[in-house]
Amino acid sequence: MRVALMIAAVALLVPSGADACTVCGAGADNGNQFIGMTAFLTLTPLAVIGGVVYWLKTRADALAALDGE
Amino acid sequence: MARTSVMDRQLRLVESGSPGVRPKVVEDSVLGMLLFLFVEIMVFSGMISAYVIVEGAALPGTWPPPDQPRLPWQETLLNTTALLVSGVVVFAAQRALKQGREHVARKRLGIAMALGAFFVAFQGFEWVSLIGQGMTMLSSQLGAFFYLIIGCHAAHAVAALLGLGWVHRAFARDGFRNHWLTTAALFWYFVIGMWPILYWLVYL
Repeated sequence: MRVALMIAAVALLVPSGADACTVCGAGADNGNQFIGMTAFLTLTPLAVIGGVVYWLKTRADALAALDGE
Repeated sequence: MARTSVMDRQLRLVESGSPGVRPKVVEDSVLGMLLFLFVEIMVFSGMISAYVIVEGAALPGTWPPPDQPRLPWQETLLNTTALLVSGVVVFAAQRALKQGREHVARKRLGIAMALGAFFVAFQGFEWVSLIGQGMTMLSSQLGAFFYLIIGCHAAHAVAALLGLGWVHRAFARDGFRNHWLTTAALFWYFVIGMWPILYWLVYL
């Protein structure tokens, strides 16, 4: 139990030693690409959904304006 | 007889002050296509992300792999131009339909489809050539990504062409709705919009 706790503590202090992916540490440093793509995959759905909602609102407003006339 | 969409008709009713159904904000088919395209954007985003990360991990001088054929970016530029022009022609077809010039719209749609078919056929030839030179899905990571991403795009191009073809045939039918073309055109615009990104990432 103590050994397991010690390993867990070391893994927390040195997280790179606990890489789950065996090939992620291989090859050149692609940290920037990884961070960039994480941001890309996070922001893309928000941008697309936001764009569609904005477009729908614009159309709804236009129709409402026509309705009011 | 000029064919107008349900929305156009309803809008006219509202504009003329006649009693009418409250116009739809967006046609069901268009909204459905938008939702479908959202999913497709995420599918391609995932593949692009994987490609960029794997390319970033390649050691200097190993990407593209030295023992693999170079991708024909010059020839594909011609292909890219054909695809982009087809998008402009579809847009022109939409405009013609909006102005009630159906036969012009149908003709333009046919031209756009021919350009799209050229794009797909050209890619087919390109693939045959690359496979002949030893680039397969199993020959390298580049090969695997190339056939996966570009193949997925080609499958979408074929599906979008089938959609445009269906609309082209539907022109002859009674009860044609303008939003059918809008729906199919949205899919085609997605195929066109995605291509320059893939071309820049994978070919250049």
